[in-house]
Amino acid sequence: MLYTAASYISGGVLNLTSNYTGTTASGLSYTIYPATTEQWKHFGASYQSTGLRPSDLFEDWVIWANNNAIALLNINDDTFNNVALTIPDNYTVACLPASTNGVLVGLNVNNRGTVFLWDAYSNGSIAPWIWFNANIKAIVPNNEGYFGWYVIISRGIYLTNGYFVQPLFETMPDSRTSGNTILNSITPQGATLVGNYLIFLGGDVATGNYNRQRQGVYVFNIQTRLFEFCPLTNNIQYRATLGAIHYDSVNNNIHFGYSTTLPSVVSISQLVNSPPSSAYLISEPKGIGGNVKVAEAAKYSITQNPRQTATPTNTFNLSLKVYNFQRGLWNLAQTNYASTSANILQINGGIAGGTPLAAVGDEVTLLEGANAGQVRHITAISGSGTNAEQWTLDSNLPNNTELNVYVVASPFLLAKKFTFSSITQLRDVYFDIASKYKGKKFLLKLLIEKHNEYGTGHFGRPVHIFRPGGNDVMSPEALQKAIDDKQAKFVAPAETPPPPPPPDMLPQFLGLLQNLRTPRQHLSAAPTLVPKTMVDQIQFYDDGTNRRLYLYINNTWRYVTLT
Amino acid sequence: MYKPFAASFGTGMIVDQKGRVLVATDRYLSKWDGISIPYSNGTVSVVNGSAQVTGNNVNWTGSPPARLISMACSTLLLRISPGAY
Repeated sequence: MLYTAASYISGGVLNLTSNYTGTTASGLSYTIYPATTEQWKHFGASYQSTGLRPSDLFEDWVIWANNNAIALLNINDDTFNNVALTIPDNYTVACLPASTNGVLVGLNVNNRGTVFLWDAYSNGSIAPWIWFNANIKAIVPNNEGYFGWYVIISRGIYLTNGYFVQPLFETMPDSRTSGNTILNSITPQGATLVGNYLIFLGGDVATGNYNRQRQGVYVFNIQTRLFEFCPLTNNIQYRATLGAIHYDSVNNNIHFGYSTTLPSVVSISQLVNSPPSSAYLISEPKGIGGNVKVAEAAKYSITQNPRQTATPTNTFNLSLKVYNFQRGLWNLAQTNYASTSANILQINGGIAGGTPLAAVGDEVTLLEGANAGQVRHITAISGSGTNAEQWTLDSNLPNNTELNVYVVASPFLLAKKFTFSSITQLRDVYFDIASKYKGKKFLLKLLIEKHNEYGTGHFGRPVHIFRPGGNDVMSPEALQKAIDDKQAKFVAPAETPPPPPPPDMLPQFLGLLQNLRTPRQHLSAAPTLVPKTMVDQIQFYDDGTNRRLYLYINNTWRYVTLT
Repeated sequence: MYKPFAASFGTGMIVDQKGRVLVATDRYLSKWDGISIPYSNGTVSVVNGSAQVTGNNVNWTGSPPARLISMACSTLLLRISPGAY
């Protein structure tokens, strides 16, 4: 129970503002929260909500989302206006970050979203609303010069300056027309920008997406359009509730808040540069043309990260796995009994009506529980298609697997595994696939495990890197063979490439032009702001009775009365 | 019944330009100076129906509690356990 102290008497005695309502007792523990005012400002009786209230700093204001209103706290005199701007009924303020042109307010109504610019004093928006055919999830101020924000909606990421909008990236990993994307569960303050990286807590669990849309930290490189993914602490990738991200630019720390189901924990964690215990890379589809091919070999160049300063021991396992597109790539399964052996998974195999969930040789990744993040291969299956299905794994897991743990079975078949121990220098690795796998196209998965760590207890557990879509690149030998087989032809490039078009200088002025073209909203109170632009030096006033034209001249607002 | 600072009612948080931690709940905006740390030395004795709290080995008169109380006794929150929100 929380009480407020009214006064301190002396000798270790104080008075509360209300009588103690619990049972008379002594020896109770207690906690005093000093310098805290719990009911400081009221959001308004009509604006009570247990929904999120995003906020940001703007000039000398703290701006708060307040259902279908925006509240303002002035930090100079601590005045609070719970309805500084009224939004139409049925809209909800989703987020309101500040940046170059003012505050970009994100609104949602039903299944749509819109953003508009606000200057924290006008009676309405200062630019036309920009609509999206999906809900606004988060808005992140950026470094893109005149384009001041990334707007994340449930189906894509967009750039805007509050006047114009352009797509940044709309093809999310494994997204489908009617399904959710990895952006669907982002909270209003669950995304941030660090350099060229848009970092967000994403993934989709609502519709059971366990392919590349697992829950965790997504690091999106704005320039290369490359995603990196880190599971949550303890490698959990499923059934999590994702929260906010905070980037501490002073200490260069990135903090995350979230909770997980199995184990049931609420966490604040940190993204760090420690080497992950495992990581994997899945290639773009390999194989040109529609003919059946045989996977013969793959060669990888393994190099050191030149940014690291710790001396690596270069001890790790390296595995290559092959998928030929002839079976479903991602199959979700769940344990229905706790394991009594570390190499056994007790699977509810009846959930697909008897259709096998996995086959011998398949790769299994545990998404939660004490073995989350562990990867094994199936060596035997018994009771297939029943609720007493049992998978035997190729090696023991660190722990016996619990009840109700979700796992993913993928037909990434193991081609070759190398174990390197304290090698003096890295070198190219040649995987002899030995013509074991046939198909028209292949995915190659490279898994690195057990490489040396010099940090523990942080994020940075298995990482996978992928590029949605992507282009295949042929080796010179494959290209020559395709030409010989008349499946490709060589087209000489033009001798002189056309000169690049001159840079378009207009976009940087479009916002200004649009601002000048847009009719200005009137104020209902006399202006008190200090203008930063000539446009702001002119304000229109109408309180319902009086109409005035205000001009800011020599540090003072002057006005003339209008008819 | 209003339940202050119950876990499900935290709706937002930010550090303002003055370094204060502002916390939004379903009804109110709360503030904390961002400096003063919770204090829980010793134990307390309480009586049902009484507003008086007696500390045992609490050292409330020493530093920093004296500073904290003298600074903000009117806004000081006291959590007494066991109890429920």
